[in-house]
Amino acid sequence: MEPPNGPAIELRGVRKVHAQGRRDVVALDGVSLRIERREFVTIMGPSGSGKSTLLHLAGALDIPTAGEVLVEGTLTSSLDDTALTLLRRRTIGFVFQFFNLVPSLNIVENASLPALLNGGRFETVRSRAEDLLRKVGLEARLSHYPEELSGGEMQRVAIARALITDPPLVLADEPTGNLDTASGVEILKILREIARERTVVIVTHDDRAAGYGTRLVKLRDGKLA
Amino acid sequence: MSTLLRYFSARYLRRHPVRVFLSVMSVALGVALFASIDVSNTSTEAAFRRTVRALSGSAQLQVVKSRSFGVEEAALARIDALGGLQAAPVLQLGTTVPGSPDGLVVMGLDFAREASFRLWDVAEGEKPQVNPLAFLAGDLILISRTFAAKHGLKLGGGFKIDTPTGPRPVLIGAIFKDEGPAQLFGGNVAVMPLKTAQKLFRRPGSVDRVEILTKGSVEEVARQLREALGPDYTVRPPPETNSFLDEAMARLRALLGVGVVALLVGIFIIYNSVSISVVERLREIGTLRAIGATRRQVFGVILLEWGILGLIGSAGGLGIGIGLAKSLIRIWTKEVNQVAMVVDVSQLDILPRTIAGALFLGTLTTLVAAVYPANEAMSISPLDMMRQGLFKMRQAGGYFRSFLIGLGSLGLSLLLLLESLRFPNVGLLASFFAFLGAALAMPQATLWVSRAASPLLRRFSELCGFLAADNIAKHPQRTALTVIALAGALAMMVSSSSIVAGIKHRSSEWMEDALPFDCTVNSIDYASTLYASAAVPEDVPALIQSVEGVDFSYGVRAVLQDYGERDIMIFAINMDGYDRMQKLRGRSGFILPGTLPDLLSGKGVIVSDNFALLHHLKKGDSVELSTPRGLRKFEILGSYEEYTWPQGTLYIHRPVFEAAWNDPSVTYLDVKFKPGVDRKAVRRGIVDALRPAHSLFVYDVDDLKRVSESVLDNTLVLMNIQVALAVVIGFFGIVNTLLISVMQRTREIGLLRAVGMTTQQVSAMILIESTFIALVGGGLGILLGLAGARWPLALHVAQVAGYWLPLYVPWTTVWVALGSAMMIGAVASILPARRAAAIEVLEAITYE
Repeated sequence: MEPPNGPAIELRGVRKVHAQGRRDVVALDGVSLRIERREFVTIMGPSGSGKSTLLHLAGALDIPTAGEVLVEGTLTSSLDDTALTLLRRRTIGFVFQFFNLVPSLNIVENASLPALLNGGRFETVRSRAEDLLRKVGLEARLSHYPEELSGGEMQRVAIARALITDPPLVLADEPTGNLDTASGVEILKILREIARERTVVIVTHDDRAAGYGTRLVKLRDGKLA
Repeated sequence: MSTLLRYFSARYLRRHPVRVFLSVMSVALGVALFASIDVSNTSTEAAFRRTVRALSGSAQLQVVKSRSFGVEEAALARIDALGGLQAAPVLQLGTTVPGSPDGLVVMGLDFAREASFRLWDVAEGEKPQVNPLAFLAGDLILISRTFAAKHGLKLGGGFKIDTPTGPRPVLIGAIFKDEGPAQLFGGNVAVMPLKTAQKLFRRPGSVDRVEILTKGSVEEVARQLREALGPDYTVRPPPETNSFLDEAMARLRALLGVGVVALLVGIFIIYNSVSISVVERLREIGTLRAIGATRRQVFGVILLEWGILGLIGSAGGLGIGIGLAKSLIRIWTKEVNQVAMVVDVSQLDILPRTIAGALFLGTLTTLVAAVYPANEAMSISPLDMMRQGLFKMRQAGGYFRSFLIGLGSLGLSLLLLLESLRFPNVGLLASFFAFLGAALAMPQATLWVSRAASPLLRRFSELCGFLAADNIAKHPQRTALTVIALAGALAMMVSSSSIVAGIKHRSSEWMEDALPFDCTVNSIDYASTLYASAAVPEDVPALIQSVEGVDFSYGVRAVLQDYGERDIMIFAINMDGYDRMQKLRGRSGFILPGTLPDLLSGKGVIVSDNFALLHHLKKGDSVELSTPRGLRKFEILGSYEEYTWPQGTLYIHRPVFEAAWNDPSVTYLDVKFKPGVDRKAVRRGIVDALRPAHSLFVYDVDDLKRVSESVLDNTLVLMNIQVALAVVIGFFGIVNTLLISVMQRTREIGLLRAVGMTTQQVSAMILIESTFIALVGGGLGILLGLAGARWPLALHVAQVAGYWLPLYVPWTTVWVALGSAMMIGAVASILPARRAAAIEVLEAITYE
């Protein structure tokens, strides 16, 4: 067990191989990386460089083919599916490129989802969700459904959802990839705010993003560049 | 088109084997229900014709007595006098062999006239006419090789058969090869010289029919016969059917209703599958349209792919149906032959019409289900299709309109009930409209119910319950179709059981009121047949009276008689004895107040309520019956609720019947014990007194109730086999709906998994959804079933059997239906829940 003040995420000699049809594709090849608490790390690289794979491993959505990934001191490859799910639910907030909101839930319900999954009752979770949505500038939209929002607004709901369980770690996969320039900048600013209190890792193609982070990690052909 | 079929359809279908299997199976089971009933129907009819043909041999015509039983032998002389024809008298009886559960059909034949009619190929021994003095050895009987083997009998040996004068020994004069009529009824066929049969069965000078063979014109001979014999006789070709069979066949055909519901359920399942297959392929369809496939080509290929699946399902269904028909027929012929030994189904008759009909029906059903979603998809522009996600199969606004049309259909069903008894089968038609109405109203109702149930489901599980309710509300049509499919199957189960419970309950009350005796001595063994013209031997009344503890008894003659289009039951009873027995327990039974003098004088008769209803007669009207002494009119003194015979019963004083019908015999003897005696001991005393000389059966009222219930239960078995299949289809419906729901929500479930939903939570969500659908379906099914039994089916029963039944709630069946629904819900969720839990989180959330 790592001490509480250890790194938020640590990758040790990580290799990840995906089966693609009849051939294997090496997505990450011997990557070691240490991300400290309250760092705002931007991971960049061309398509196919292994950025998203790295994020999925760091987010306990996947486990490495070889090597070790520790999230908040926990070795992910030692966990079964349920334990991985609980680790995600309690420790990590996700922001996806395509927002991935549930269309039939309004934005307060969407933002509340991880807390509800954790056994919380809507009545108790609701005020925190509304606070978070206000913080990301959606106070006027609380009763709206995803389809009534713009892309930037949907991404802000996704950020509120990522923060609802107050996780120490927020991971974002191309959070500005589907947004116009102005909305993208807004989202990056919000993420920088978040990084004051917790660790934020974003994977992006967006060159502007590097300027908002505290550290830039570059990947090329599955290796750190 | 073949290119599209190969690259567009085949590959898609190959990728979704479970869905394809469920769709094909739903068609197959629907078709199987139809095919099984059709094959049973045609096989039974063909078997009856074969049975009649084998029994009547090469006869071209039959002479029978109109509206009565028995042809006097004197008529034979008048037939012979016509010349140019051959005539053979036949006495055909059903009897039993003491100690054997099987019935035995005995034919009394005149062997001197027999040669041209039937093939009786002797394996051992000789035909009686070869040795005219053979009768000196004893009462001869000729049996089949199978019968001999079954009972360990040998040529020259003997055994006993039951006769109106008790068990009588007979001598085996010959053993036939198992050919021609000898192979019928599993070989339980025996032949006796006519005179011997008449003597043993107390039918001197009487035969059942005279068969005619001519080398000349059959029509001309028939005309001459009619002229010579007069209106008391009927001259006809060997019959294609008879009233026992007709009555039983009507019940078999009523089961087609189950097949209709099953196919409706099949339509819903296929509709779901086609809809989802279209939605999933919108991009592909859009691309095809963009690169030049016409609207018609794409529409055509979707119909073609489902048409082929429908055809495959229908072929499978035909096979299952034929297999099912085999077991149906086994139960079925037992039921028909319990009433009278009339049909022997030894093979299945599968007509080309059945094969073509089943394939057509299944394929058509599939195409009907596929047309709407295929057409709906085709109305979208290629560009919209390529932007997947913008397309929705149907907007919520349409549900309310469908709800109103559904209410209209329910209203029409009620209207049909108001027009009661106006045309045949109106009850079944009203049931159809009621079911259709419920189906149309269901999507809107589901929307309301799921919204109303949402807080309740949240109580079970805050998020899972909410998501489950939300998903049901999102697709009310899909959910509603499944609900109604399951409800339909369970409704049939509840309604048929309610009707049977009603008849059981009323029968039991009727027996309690109508049967005043302590025991009845009967010539019929109810374990093998319910109706027989057998009679109690003449010395039996005195024997019984001599038993210690017996107070008194009266005789009953029960016979079936033609009346209009139906065979009615006549009970000729010694009314004074019956009245005395009833008064001892303070009741009057069917002797309505003030009617006894007119019954005793022969002025009038009492009829059953169903007789009055079926023949539109009431108290004060008169009923005209044909007797051997010509037509005779009786006044209807009143009607009485009773359940003896579904075509109507008539009660008459026995001496009046004896004089008019020239029939002194007695079918049962109802016995009253002295007060305070040990009833079991007296009953034992009667059995002991009868045993040495007679093969008679002693029953008390409880025994008769049990016999009546077992007959009704047998009818239910047939129904339940069909209902069970419909329930299986309902089960497939839920699995299909949930699978589709899971597939449509792949991304949503993936996301929920990504943000922390465990596989157990995913399963719980699917289970709640499934149980909700099943419970609503179960509840609705029970309500529809009870409503159906109370109104349209009660009307149908009244039209067919003349019984107006109040509603009886069959509680056991209701609980079984509810339990089955819950179990179906739980089991149906297993596969979809596994699917959902196995969704690859990464794949789900990264796909767009």
